[in-house]
Amino acid sequence: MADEIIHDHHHDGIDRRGFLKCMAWAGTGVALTFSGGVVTSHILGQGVAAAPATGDFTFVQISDSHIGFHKAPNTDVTATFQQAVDKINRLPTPPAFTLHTGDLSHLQKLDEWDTLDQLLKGAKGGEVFFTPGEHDVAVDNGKSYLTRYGKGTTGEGWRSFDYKGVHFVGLVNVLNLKAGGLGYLGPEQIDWLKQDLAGLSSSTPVVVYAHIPLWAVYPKWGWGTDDSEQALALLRRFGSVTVLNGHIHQVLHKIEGNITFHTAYSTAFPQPAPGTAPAPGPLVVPAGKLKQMLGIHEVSYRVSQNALAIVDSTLG
Amino acid sequence: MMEHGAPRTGPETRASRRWLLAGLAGMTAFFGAAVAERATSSHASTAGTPAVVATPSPQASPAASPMASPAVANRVTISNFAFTPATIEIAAGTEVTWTNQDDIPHTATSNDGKTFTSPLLDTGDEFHQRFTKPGTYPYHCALHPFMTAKVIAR
Repeated sequence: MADEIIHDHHHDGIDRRGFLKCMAWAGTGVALTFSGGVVTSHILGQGVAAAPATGDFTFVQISDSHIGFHKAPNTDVTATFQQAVDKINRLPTPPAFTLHTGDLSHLQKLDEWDTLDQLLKGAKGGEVFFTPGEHDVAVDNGKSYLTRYGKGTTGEGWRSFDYKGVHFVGLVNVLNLKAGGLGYLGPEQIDWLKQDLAGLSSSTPVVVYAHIPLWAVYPKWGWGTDDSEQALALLRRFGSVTVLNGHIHQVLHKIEGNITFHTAYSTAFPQPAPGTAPAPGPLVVPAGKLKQMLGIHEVSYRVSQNALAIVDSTLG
Repeated sequence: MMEHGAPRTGPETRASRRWLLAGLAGMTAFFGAAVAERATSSHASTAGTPAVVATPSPQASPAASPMASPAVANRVTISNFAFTPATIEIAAGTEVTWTNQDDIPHTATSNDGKTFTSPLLDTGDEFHQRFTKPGTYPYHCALHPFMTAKVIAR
């Protein structure tokens, strides 16, 4: 990440790349606020706790629950998922809805999805919008997943909706994967996205969510999407685009023009930072540290500032 | 090369067997498609009979035993998000066994999506697939498609 100010739309001298760099190193407990494309940040607990204005809302992103995983460093992913639910239920502003960005299950078993659904019934996080991970679809290229979680979606699970002026797009990049390739959207989905965005004003804030990162985090480990550039090209005209991904079980951020990319914690197990291990298997950490490496993503939208504030919040 | 008479189970043995193949069969070992087709016609009914590999070489007569040792000849390990060996050469009719040693599930899925696919293999799970027809069978992991490998049946 560069340190220079690249896009200071408000001419207020806020160095968003610098902030992001701080954010990446500070780890959890820092909020990012997007205001007209410029990032500000504050440490959690020191933030402006203004009363919510009309139109403001919060939503939650959870990811990579891997129900069914039962090995080091987490032999009880159900318990940690329950802790994530508890965290959602304690949020000061009840979330309008929840996004689950994939890998609901570990082995695509029905009882794993049953467990997840049961646990989510206890969450006061509003409606849950799912997008699948590869662990949810690999057995049958998504057939059983779409039967169960695809209601209200188009094509192979794609979805868009508007909430209080913000346009949300759920993409699927874990189907029809090609040997030797990475995540894949496919031409039909990209055409659908083109049509979906066509009628929107460029000032509409857009939030895109998908499982595998839509930027090349570390292709050697499959952490990228082969044709994401075609989707990003359609998003570049918008003044504020926020991309929320999972898959890599750790928090990373990147800014590219008006597009900001974020990956979320898993609720099940952490994975190593890119290239720091022989392979991207579960990162085995001491029991006492596990909860500091699992968590949820809380996103608040403040209408008065036309801003999205993102908080990565760990379980422990 | 002289160690071939002693069937061992390590990757070394598999590696040196590949050398033997390369030495004996020359281009056959690595430019499989056309050669494999010829093998199909000439050995179409030989499924389960001794390998092409073992027959053409005078040196291979004592070395036929490694081919008969399943631990050496027909096992693929899935570890650290990779198939080892990345290319396995077998006699047509041989059953190949994949074992997942990772803590993340993987599959062995033929690239054409039709010839074979394993279920999701959890840690320690095995998958068996018999290759009755000679040919080159490229495959990958359906969850992590950057993991690619191939089976060459002769």
